[in-house]
Amino acid sequence: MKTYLLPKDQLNDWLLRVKAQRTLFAPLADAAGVLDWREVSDPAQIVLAPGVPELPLKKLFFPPSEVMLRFGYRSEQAAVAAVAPPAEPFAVFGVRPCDALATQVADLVFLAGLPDPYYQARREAGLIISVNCAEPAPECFCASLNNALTEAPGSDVLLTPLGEQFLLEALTDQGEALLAETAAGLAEGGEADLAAKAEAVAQTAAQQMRRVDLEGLTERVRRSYGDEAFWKSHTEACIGCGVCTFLCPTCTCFDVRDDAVSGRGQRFRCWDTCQFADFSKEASGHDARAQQWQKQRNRVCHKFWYSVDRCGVLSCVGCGRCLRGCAGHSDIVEMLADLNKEPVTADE
Amino acid sequence: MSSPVADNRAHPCALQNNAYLPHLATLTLVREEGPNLMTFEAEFQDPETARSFTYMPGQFLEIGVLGAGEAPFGLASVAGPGRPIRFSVQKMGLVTTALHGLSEGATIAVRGPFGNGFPVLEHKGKNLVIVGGGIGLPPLRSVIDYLREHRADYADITIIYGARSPQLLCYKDCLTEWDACCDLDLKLTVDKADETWQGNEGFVPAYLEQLNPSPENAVAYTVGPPIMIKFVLQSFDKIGWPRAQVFASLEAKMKCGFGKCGRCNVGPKLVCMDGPVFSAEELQGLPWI
Repeated sequence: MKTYLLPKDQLNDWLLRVKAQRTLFAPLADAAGVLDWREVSDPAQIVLAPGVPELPLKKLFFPPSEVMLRFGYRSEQAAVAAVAPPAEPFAVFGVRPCDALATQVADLVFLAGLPDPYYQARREAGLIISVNCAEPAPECFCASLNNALTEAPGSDVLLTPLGEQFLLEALTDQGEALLAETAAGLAEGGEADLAAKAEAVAQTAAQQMRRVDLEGLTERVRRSYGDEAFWKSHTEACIGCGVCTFLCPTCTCFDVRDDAVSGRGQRFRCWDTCQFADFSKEASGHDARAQQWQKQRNRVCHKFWYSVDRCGVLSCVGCGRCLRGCAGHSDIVEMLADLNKEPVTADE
Repeated sequence: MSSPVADNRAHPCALQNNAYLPHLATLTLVREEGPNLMTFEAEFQDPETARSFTYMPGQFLEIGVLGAGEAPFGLASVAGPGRPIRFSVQKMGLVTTALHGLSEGATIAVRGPFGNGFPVLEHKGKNLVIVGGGIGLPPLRSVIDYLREHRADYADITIIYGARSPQLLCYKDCLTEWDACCDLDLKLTVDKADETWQGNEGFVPAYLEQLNPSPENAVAYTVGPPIMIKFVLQSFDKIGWPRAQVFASLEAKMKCGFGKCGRCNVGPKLVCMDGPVFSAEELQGLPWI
């Protein structure tokens, strides 16, 4: 696919051309300085800080709370209808490659088997414009886990900063269509620019301070499952707030509830977390994961074992939000480093 | 008065194949089954759904009372055109309490069927040993009625069923009929007998070991409280049954029913998608209890 060179001082002009095509979202700071994905009116307000914005990208495809159905419930006029998710085309700019990859992981849950039509509608309406990382944040550890930095899977368009310009690449047909409409007049990139990009992301990767040893990782997690002392020692400080899962770009668990008054109501879903007391507790009181260490074990095993079994991928992309947000300073990278280090033999 | 749902925008994606959108059904039978236990039958309001809705024994539905929410329940009936769906509900939480408050003619909202069900088609020609405890009988009733409707396809059928007390045995009219009929062997037990009880006294797993059914050309299906299933599986081990021949239906808290909401996992398995029926072999090493 064609590549272009976008001078950095023309970025906002290009974003205005994108914005003319689609509603544009990007990381914007709120009054407290927290970076959240919000609709852009002026591209100059976009903040591209090292690492990922505090809030995860998933909220644009899977909102924290969403009405799914409306109904009337009195017998003589009982009726139920689906609420349509908005389908206006949008683009989201400033996505870090780890978040773009996380979107592909979420697709494996929401779009496999019977698809989730609410998520699907937003995914089909949304275009992901990623910006490669020129420098990592202290929490970043994607380089040791996946190909986000080198290949940016899940991105429709990728910008890589190279000195005073961005290398602009389309990675999907939708991305190519967007560039066909917005990149007119830009110089085309060449082999030398792609080589410079490879060197730049290799430098970023080398600067990441946290690393996960991928060798036999799933097997080590699986083998540590029954090591109660290990899980307890690593989750002592957990207060069960669930922030690790709410901020995680691949955590997609939700609750479904009805809200009704005077004969009519709505069924909505909202983000939920395996860290909460009633998440898996049945009405009978039975709960296979009643203790907080069991809930944390479920989270970690899901990321590095269950997801591999079910979907063939790790459901941790190395964004570092969970360790940045944890009130108890829990660090998943340290936890993984402490797993049973016995070498994994082929016959296990 | 305007329709409460008239203001919805039509959207092709959300309206087609939306597995969250329930079918409305009317309760045609509401019967008190035992203490805190009610049996319901319902017919779909949409004639096409009523005609085409089908399921296998051991599958489950998400049954909702609009305004209160929904929860998963095993089907106690056998599918067939024009037949009502049947399910039994113990009063436990928000949704079950709302269901208990309904009368015949009330509307419920039904999604499904979900889950794998018992592998009855694969087990043609086998001896069936069915082990139930307490309110585990409703989903097994679907199996038993199915097997009897296809009686020639199966060999011997043995039912071992127990409850904490004689009063807590459910479907007493069925038990009477099954006891009297000659195409199956019904074995009842209660944890604690009273003056009315003439039958066996003892826990279901112990009774299973005492009856010691042969694993030869046989499969077993069990449904009951998790703790009973745990000991039933151990009893089958003790009496020499290969784990691949024993199948248990698990329960779990669920919201969506089709692999999205994330709460029903036991280790890497989802009860809604990979289950609710698992072989004892699959359950080995899984943190299901």
